[in-house]
Amino acid sequence: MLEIKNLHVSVDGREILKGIDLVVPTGEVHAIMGPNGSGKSTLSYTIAGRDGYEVTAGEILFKGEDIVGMSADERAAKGVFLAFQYPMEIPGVATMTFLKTALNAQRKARGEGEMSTPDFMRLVREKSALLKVTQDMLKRPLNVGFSGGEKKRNEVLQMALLEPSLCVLDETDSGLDIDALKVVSEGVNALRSPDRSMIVITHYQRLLDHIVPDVIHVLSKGRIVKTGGKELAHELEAKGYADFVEDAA
Amino acid sequence: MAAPSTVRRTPAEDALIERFGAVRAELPGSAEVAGWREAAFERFAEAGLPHRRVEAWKYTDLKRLMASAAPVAAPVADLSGVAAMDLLAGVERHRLVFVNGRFAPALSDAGLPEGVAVTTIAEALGAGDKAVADALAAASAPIAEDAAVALNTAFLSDGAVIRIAAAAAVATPIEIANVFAGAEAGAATLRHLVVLGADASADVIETFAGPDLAYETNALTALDLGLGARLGYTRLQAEGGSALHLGTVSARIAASANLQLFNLMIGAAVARAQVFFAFEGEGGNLDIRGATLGDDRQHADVTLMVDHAVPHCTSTETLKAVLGGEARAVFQGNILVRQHAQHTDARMMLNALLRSETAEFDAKPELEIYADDVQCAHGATSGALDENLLFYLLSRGIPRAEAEELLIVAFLGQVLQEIPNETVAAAVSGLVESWLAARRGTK
Repeated sequence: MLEIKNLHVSVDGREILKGIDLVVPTGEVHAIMGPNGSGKSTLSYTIAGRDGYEVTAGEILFKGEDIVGMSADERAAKGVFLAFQYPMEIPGVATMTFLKTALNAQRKARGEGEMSTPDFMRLVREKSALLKVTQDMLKRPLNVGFSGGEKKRNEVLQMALLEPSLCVLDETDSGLDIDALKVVSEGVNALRSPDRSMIVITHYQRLLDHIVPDVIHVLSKGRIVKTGGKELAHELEAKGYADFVEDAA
Repeated sequence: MAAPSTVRRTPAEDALIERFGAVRAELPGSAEVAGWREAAFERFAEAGLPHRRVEAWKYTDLKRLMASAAPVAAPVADLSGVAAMDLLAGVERHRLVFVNGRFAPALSDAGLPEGVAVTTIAEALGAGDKAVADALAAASAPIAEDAAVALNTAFLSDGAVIRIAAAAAVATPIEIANVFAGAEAGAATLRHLVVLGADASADVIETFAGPDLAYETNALTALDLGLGARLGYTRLQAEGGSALHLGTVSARIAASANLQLFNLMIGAAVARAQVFFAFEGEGGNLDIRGATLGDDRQHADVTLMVDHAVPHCTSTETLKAVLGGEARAVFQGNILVRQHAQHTDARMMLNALLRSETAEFDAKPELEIYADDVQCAHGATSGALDENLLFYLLSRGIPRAEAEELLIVAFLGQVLQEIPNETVAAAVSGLVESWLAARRGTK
């Protein structure tokens, strides 16, 4: 699904990622853990195609195709999805309008017809029930006045509607209490599928008790310094990042 | 001894003088009307076109912006093209259509709602109607010094007088359509009077449309609201891309009356909409909202003069501009709170969204306060679209052009959503969206 080779990324002329190699096979969930400033968010933005994240070397192969030169919307239409750590609030754009615009834009980019309003409403009702997203939330301006939990549920709802092949979850646990974390995790787990890969980016092991990964990578100073199974999370929790950071130094 | 200084006239000023000489005898009205036309033109000829040293026209230097002046527009025999210039197709309303400065009965709705009486100015002046002549004179008397007003007084050829009876509640909006048609550029000069009796309630929409010709529209609309009356006045300026638009709204409202004014500026090469507003009784309420969209080298000026002469009145002004290319928007807002106008509440907010490095926004909010127990505030901002918001939309697969339009419509939402009458509001949103869509990738 995703193959990253020797990826170097600079932001404002400063190199943040210094040669990342990462392979996420189809159907697998990989976690990326690391201390603050290790480059976790930079990696997620680079995969999603944010302007200003300059790839100075290396490639990002998505389903075998290099996506480095593609714009963010092209990548999204091909099946890349980023769940934001801090979802944006957009006053004046109703959540429902946003969802419909996004879904139809992707369908159009893939040469599919637009979805009719009744079909769309049915689909949203079905997907939102599982995530406890209320009709009232859908009518409100996008994320405006939403609690931390509501914003993250809304992110996962978008994921469920858009059905991407690759989901990158950037610190999805931040700002969530334990109940909200459960709802969001259940939503994510329901989307696990043999056809879909996920990258779960987190600072803490807590999220990985709920979304159990197949592989864990440790990111430090812009490089992956260790790769292991899910037990690596507990090792990190017990010992902290210090050992790994020193190994890399 | 120095030679007497001679004022050098611009070609446009020369053309205007020539124009007045050519048509003065044919303009409608009695000898008295001809007298005030002469006086107004004399005032104009003396001062010339306004320029940057005339404070009220500081940012809209007509001496520079007006390269020439067209002759008075000729009547159009074939009106078949006019229907296509309907900005509000599909909206239920009573239409009064003026083409090239003349009433077009064939295109207008005959039946009027109960409580509404309409006369046309050319007809009334032709018949020597003194009441209409006096009302026309009264509409411009307090603002006679303004150059656009003086030209309007000199050249006005037609317009609508709409009278709404006391206590009448008119549900269907009335549209005054000012259309330019034909293949030859010309100048159309109109004056409309809208008078609401006590406790009357109505919605009036004024539209401006035309082809891509260097034609000129000078329109003055006077709004007169009686005690406790309510008027929603929506002004949609979508002139052809090479036109010059000089628009004036002169409004006075009696005690406890309520005026909700919306002003859209999307057309013309050079446009100015100036609003002169006066509260004449306590408890009045004025809400002005506006949206200016500019691209290429468009120049759009919105100038507001709000006079709080009496206590306990409220005014809010919320104006937004979206500018691309080398477009320039001007917002001047002067709020005068006179000494006796205690308990005035006046708020003005100007926001601009700049889509290019070369677009320009000039904001001049002015508060002139002589009373000591009032609440007044103003603010102005300008900036680009938020890249964080854009990336969020792009990351969901929404292409950049569409994402930008979505954010622009959201930015304008605060003013567009408050337009009186839902179907009109939807039609105006449609105008804005198609304006944006037509400029995709050209910003």
